[in-house]
Amino acid sequence: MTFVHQHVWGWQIATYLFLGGLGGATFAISAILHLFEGCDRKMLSVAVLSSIGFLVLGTVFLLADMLQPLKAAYALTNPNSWIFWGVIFINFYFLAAIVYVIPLLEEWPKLLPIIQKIPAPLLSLLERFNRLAALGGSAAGFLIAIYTGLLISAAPAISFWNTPALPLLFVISGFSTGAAYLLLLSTFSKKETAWKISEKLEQLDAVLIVSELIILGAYFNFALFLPTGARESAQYLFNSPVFIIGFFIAGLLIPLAIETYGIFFSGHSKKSNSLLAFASALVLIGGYLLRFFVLSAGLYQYPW
Amino acid sequence: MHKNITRRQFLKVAGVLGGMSLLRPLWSMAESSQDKKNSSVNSALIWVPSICNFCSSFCNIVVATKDVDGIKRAVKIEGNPESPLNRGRICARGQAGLRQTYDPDRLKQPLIRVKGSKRGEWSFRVATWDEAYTYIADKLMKVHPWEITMVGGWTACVSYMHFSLPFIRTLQIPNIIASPLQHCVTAGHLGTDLVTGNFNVHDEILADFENARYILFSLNNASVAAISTARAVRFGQARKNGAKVVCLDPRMSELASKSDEWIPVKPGTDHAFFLAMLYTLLREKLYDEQFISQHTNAPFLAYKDEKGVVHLASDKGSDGKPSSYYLYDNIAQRITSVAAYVNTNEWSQKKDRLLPSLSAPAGLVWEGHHVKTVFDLFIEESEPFTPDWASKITDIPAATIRRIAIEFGQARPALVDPGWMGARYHHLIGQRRLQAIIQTLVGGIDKPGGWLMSGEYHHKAEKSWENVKNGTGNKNVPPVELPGMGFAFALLDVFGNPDAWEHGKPAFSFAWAMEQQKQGKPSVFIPAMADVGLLEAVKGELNFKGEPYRVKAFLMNAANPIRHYFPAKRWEEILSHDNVELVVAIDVLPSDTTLYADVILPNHTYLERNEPLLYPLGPSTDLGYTTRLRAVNPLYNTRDTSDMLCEIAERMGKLKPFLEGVAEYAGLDKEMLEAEILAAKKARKPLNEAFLKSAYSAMGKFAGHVSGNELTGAEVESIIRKKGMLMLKDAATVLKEANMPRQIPVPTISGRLELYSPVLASFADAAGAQPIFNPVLGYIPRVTSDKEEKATLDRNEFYFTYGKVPVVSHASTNSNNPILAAVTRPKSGTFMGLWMNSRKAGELGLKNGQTVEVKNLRYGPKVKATLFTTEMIRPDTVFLPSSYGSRNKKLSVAGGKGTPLNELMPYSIEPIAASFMSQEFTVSVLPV
Amino acid sequence: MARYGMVIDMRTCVGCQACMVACTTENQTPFWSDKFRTHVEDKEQGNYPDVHRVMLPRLCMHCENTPCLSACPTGATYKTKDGIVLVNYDRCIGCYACCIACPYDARYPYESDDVNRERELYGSNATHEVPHVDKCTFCQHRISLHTEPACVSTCPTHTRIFGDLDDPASEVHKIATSGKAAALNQGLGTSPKVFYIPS
Ligand SMILES: Nc1nc2c(c(=O)[nH]1)N[C@H]1C(S)=C(S)[C@@H](COP(=O)(O)OP(=O)(O)OC[C@H]3O[C@@H](n4cnc5c(=O)[nH]c(N)nc54)[C@H](O)[C@@H]3O)O[C@H]1N2
Ligand SMILES: Nc1nc2c(c(=O)[nH]1)N[C@H]1C(S)=C(S)[C@@H](COP(=O)(O)OP(=O)(O)OC[C@H]3O[C@@H](n4cnc5c(=O)[nH]c(N)nc54)[C@H](O)[C@@H]3O)O[C@H]1N2
Ligand code: SF4
Ligand code: SF4
Ligand code: SF4
Ligand code: SF4
Ligand code: SF4
Ligand SMILES: [Mo]
Repeated sequence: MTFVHQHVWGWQIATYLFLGGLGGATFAISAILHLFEGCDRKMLSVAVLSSIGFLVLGTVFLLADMLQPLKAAYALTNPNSWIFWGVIFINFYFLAAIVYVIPLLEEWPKLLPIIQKIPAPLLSLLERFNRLAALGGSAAGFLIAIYTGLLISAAPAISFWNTPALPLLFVISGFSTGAAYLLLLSTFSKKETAWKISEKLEQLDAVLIVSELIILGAYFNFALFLPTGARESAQYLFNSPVFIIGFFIAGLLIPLAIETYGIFFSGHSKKSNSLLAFASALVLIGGYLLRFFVLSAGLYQYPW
Repeated sequence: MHKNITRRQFLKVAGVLGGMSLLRPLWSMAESSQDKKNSSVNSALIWVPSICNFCSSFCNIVVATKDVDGIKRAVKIEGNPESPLNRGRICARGQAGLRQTYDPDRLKQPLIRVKGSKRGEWSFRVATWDEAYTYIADKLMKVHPWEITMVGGWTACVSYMHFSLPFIRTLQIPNIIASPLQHCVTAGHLGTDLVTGNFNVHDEILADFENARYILFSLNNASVAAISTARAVRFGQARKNGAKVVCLDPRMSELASKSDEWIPVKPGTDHAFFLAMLYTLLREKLYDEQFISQHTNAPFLAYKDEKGVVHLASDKGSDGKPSSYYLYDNIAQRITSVAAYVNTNEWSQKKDRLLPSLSAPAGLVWEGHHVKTVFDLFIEESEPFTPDWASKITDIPAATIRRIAIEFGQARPALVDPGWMGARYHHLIGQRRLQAIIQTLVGGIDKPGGWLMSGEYHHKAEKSWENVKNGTGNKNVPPVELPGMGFAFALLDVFGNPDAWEHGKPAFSFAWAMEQQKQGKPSVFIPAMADVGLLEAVKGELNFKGEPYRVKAFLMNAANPIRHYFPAKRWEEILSHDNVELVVAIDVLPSDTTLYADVILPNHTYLERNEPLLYPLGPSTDLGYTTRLRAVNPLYNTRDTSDMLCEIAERMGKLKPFLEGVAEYAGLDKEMLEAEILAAKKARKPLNEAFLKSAYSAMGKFAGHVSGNELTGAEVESIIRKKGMLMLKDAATVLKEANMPRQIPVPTISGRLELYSPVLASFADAAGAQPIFNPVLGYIPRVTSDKEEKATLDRNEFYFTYGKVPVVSHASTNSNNPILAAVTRPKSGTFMGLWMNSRKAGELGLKNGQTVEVKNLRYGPKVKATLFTTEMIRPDTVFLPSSYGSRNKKLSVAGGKGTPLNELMPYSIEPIAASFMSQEFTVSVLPV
Repeated sequence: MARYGMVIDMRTCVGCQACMVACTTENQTPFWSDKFRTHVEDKEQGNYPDVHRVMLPRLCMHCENTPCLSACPTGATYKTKDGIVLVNYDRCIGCYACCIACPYDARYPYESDDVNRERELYGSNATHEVPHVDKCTFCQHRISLHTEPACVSTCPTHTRIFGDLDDPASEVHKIATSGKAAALNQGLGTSPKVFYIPS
């Protein structure tokens, strides 16, 4: 029995997984906030545009890691494969996101001339389906976030990955990074609505971080008590200072502390704005580190 | 030119193309490039039979060739499925052979040393063949013929023996140094040969593993499992058949890993193990009484002379050789004489039926001597060698030794492998002789599950037995045609006999030995093809009969003494000496030795050449012949060795007698050969094919003799092209018709298997009774120091052992093969590192992978090695893979990698055949 | 229709690596990048003197339940009627999902550098024209010519035994059904078609 680190997927794929989760969650959170809370449309448009940006960038990383990116369209062949579904989700997401974002762009005077070029009937159609697009896109965003976990959990010989806890962890972490990103955005916005939203986001993120901690606890508990590669992986992570300090402390505990402070003690005052931005940035970095380290902790358990 | 020999014909399957459609993938879209494109197996390929050249196992191969970009390319090598030897299989080296031909580092044209540069530097200019030959001939003309020496590696030995012997006879060069002798087979094989008489170019006995129930190995690895394919195929089958395998090796070798019982014997003590085994077999009466009383000299009567040397009771003929022996007949209850050279003791000289007694009645007297049987003497002299005694020496529990001996004796057929490479210890000849004696005791010679002699060897023995029987004798038979010891003695008569040469000078090695003897200094009895005296001859210190004996010119073919001879320093000194006027190296790659050449003659690689003759199937028991056929045309301006030798002979004005000599030695038709050579010269074609053509024709006639079915040369050629070999007799028939010794005598002095060794007795006569020359039994302890052997080793002192790895040969240039290098990388510790027990390494604070300095504590030299720590070795022993350490940077893959074994070696030889004693020292291992 | 499989007799493997070399010369795999379709593990177990040296040749198991195939989005990985798991080079995008999914380390990328080097070495005889993920094919091109896979046909000790698992007359069938041989990591449920006789 030997344990061998997987070297197949490195930082590029980690980036892809991170951006996928971030992008999907960013969209889902903003669209849902939009639907149920109503919010600053300008910020919303920026959020949605950047979520599209994240996914485009993520896809670029994915393609760049491939041997034959030009043939990527073939990936729509085998429905048993998660990548197949990833492609479907992402494309569906792109469709929904674009449908959703175009009407929002009217908020930007500079873009108006371009938007006016779109035939009016089409534009009104887009307007009409705006909520549907928001819903559909959110679903797709959610699926993308969870897909990033499913993708790697389908490796039977990497027992650390091969557990349903991983997609859950990734989806929670994805949403936490999404919330953090939006929080970051909101700290730049001067509008009061944005400020109100950021309070919600702060709470959401804190809740997500707490859930993430719980899942992590369960996950590691599970991994450490199995005499398999999962344990080796968990130990590897425990012995990686960057993972412990960078992800666990800086990426989870410190932001949680800041947010808790913000929620309970500072009463979400504007003074903590830069602190909040700092916390969000930490969450984002932590999210990336999580993907990166989970990938590098992928240990094959070979029977020889 | 090649007839299309497709894979189909080889495998005798029909409907090949039809099969393709069966495998269409389920999903039509999935018709992949690998379906459309073929890898090498393809009915359009042309398969050319040949012989592997990567080690002396001589496996039969087939080479797939294909037209690629308008050029015929070799694309794959496989084992020839027709081969009874390797049975269609080949090892990693054989598989990787293609990359030698396509190695960019190859020698591509003749090279001549740039004036002013020193030997040892790679400083050559491109030359034409004519320039190169002129250079060589000019130098050769300026020296006396005895001042020239040929140096040949095993390739030269196996394939060009019938050229080099006539070449030296014609040019009156009495010197050949053959690399596979001193540091390979001489010691080990001489030991077994003393019993079986089996001495041959490559006389490795084929051990019939697959029919054995018990197999015992000592000091083996590469010779079987790591790897000689012919043996590995049989060994694999033996494992499947459930034979019990026991392996003595201080480390867990590949072979040991496939044993039921690994016995980590203390290095250099196997001799004691076998003595104790013999002790037990004799005491437990676990021997084949009928066989040994019939077919060995065990029942012969013998006595001790005043000096304590044992002699057989025998009459001597006019030639000084025994004309009859004596034994005690149980039927008539008296001493009876038996014929000197027959295969059995069944009949007295008067043709009475005998029942030879293994032990003589007490007080038996023959011609005034108190006589006992040889068998009695074995019992008597083995008395001290108890398992308890051996246990203290070998570090093997006495009970284990006893158990193994009993298991061995009870399991029939049981087999102790004869071993192959022997140049390690003084006791090696004695140890291998014991192994042969044990094998003889259980009746396992030329018997399924035992030792089988090769088909060709049987054939020669049969022929020479015919000659003896019909009174013609073997006087006029060329040495290469003589079987076994006859061949050895004939060679001695060539090299060791001053009168065999017009100039009255024997080989320098014999000249040296005779002079040493005269001066009462340590000498060597049979330094055949050895390098003793060479350094002295080069430095101007050797005299023979009062005249200086110098060596000034070297013609080296397929030899790499700078890496293969022990030690490296000696050969560096020899080849770079100012007295040396010419160094020619014939090679395919820039070996370390080519660094020291004045002229480098590039040879075709084995895939690019025909071999000029037909060769027997290595150690195969079947009688068949094979050759190497050109698979692809030469890529560069290279030539064949037979052409080079002819050209040199021609420039020395001796081509005609040389050709006559080749014809005689190789049994070719003189007229035909000369006509073919003439025709080839006219057509300005290489001469190589003239030889091969004559050989085909001679083989056709020979086939007629053997099978009664004569073939034309063209028929022989077509069979060889089709199957890669011409089979004349299968192993079963060979064993039945010419069983040695059940049907015909073995080529020992007495025709019987010789437990008592008259050859050793003759050494004892000359040199006095010493254990090493004891014709019955003698124990020779391991010596690793000139001082008194210490009871325990120092803290960082180790016994030194070395051996081959499965993916490289010797220290050969095939370490430059990029595929072999690639499959070595994942195992670089095991294959290239210095093995040391991990616990012991821990005690010394040494770590896996670290560079260490290994120092020879007896002789001084040091080398650097990379440490491989492992549980698979005795704590008191280190092991160095012997295959690496090329220094020539022109070898772009191998140059500078690994540890050159022979830089650690001493110049240390034993007194019988000058074999190297390459493990008789200890080393210290220190961090650097 | 056959169900091809292999039995590996660990009692006889001497770790000579002939199989690796046969495979790379047969299939022109990138030995220059140290990538092989088959490997021979050489492991020591235990402490001196109770030590074992285990040789374990390995290759694609041609799993019946095929995680690599499920993971492959493009259908480049497919299974023939005879149960051989292959990659269609032209369709493979090199996403490595299959490599991640394979529990037996049986796949590696034939990268564009490798494609170029192959071209240099083999000229137009090169068989890997585009970058792709590569793996053991059970030498399907040889089977179709009724020749054993290259690694099997050269293995000096007959450690590798190949044939139709469904053919009652075949050696592989007999061994695989005898209980003497077992597949590796059966717990993963991949149902390998390569079986091992333990040493
Ligand atoms: N791969 C490969 N195979 C080859 C060749 C090759 O060059 N490469 N060459 C061929 C030729 S020419 C030859 S001569 C044969 C040689 O084949 P072998 O004669 O089998 O020689 P080695 O494998 O070098 O060494 C045998 C083993 O002896 C062990 N040993 C060392 N000292 C002692 C000792 O004192 N006692 C005991 N019991 N064991 C000891 C070593 O650990 C090693 O495992 O191989 C043939 N096959
Ligand atoms: N260091 C070390 N020395 C050893 C041994 C060892 O294991 N390690 N083993 C010993 C043993 S057992 C033996 S039998 C001897 C063997 O010693 P050799 O027979 O001399 O050894 P090889 O390695 O076969 O090849 C010697 C040279 O032949 C060249 N050669 C290869 N093919 C051809 C060809 O087709 N034509 C020509 N002209 N040259 C060719 C190679 O490039 C190499 O330079 O070495 C002995 N010495
Ligand atoms: S054992 Fe290997 S290297 Fe030696 S002749 Fe046979 S195939 Fe060639
Ligand atoms: S060729 Fe056979 S014996 Fe050699 S390593 Fe491969 S499986 Fe083992
Ligand atoms: S061993 Fe790996 S590559 Fe082969 S079929 Fe199974 S999962 Fe696929
Ligand atoms: S790398 Fe190729 S074979 Fe593997 S999953 Fe991707 S497309 Fe399929
Ligand atoms: S079956 Fe063919 S492709 Fe597979 S490992 Fe063996 S030689 Fe290589
Ligand atoms: Mo040798």
